[in-house]
Amino acid sequence: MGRRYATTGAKVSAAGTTQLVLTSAATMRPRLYEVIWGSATAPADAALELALLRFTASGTGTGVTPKPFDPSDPASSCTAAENLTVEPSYALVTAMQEVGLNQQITWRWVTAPYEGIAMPAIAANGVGLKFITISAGTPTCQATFYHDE
Amino acid sequence: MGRKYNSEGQRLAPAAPPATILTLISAATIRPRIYEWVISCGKAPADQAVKFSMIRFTASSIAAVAVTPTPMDPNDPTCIATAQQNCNAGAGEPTYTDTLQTISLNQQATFRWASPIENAIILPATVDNGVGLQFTAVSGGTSQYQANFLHEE
Repeated sequence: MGRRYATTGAKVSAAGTTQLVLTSAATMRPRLYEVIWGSATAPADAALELALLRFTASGTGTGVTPKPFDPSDPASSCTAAENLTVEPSYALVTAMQEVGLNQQITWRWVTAPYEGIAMPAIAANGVGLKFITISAGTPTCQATFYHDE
Repeated sequence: MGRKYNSEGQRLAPAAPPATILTLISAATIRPRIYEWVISCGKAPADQAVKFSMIRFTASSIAAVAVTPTPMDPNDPTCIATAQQNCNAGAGEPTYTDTLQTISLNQQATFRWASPIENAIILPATVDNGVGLQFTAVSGGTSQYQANFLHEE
């Protein structure tokens, strides 16, 4: 089993924008094995459609450093960003997951060990969590990615 | 396989976050692993949202209530790790470093995070280092929350 890392990111929701991305490198094949999502904004009855999508160029956002689950592990070889202002280059049919959620719920997706979403050993390729639609409002949403590498 | 323990703590949602509800503190002789934690609110239901973070610290709270971890097997000895609940905001907070999880939750929901032991959050074998569960944002209200950490050492 590889080393495990946690990456957190937040964004004010807006259709067609990306909340959090995890970007691979040429030296490894990271696997995203858990995602947690929720909103701490004052509760409102809004629905969001979210998707986990593969990309081939990582876009532009605020850099986030993946944190090791074991404090003795070295820094992650992956990079990450939250609150993207330039969208990644998503490949056409690459939704690894698409889920509809009410703003007031907390969603956790987790796989069996070793069965995460594998990313290629290619620089600037990775997976992003994107708001596809939102029915109303602009709640700030928080997400956590766990990956091993 | 190591010995397993449960630590339980409570705290009112702070009017001015951040503030910590529960911490687990390591020691020089062990590397505890948090493999499960649960957060919930047993007070009168209200429609509020709260953001929690699990964060590493390098110094524990100087103003908190001590909690004794309880062994899951009654034949096990006393836990080496220690715990704290109801840390005061501001000067009483642990010295936090890396955020490992961020969970946003409606007050009326109960959240349980559990992992295989090999995927657990590992604490260093360093005195006074550990992981805390902190209220980092609260939309309103000051209801009391309960948290449980289950760890192995």
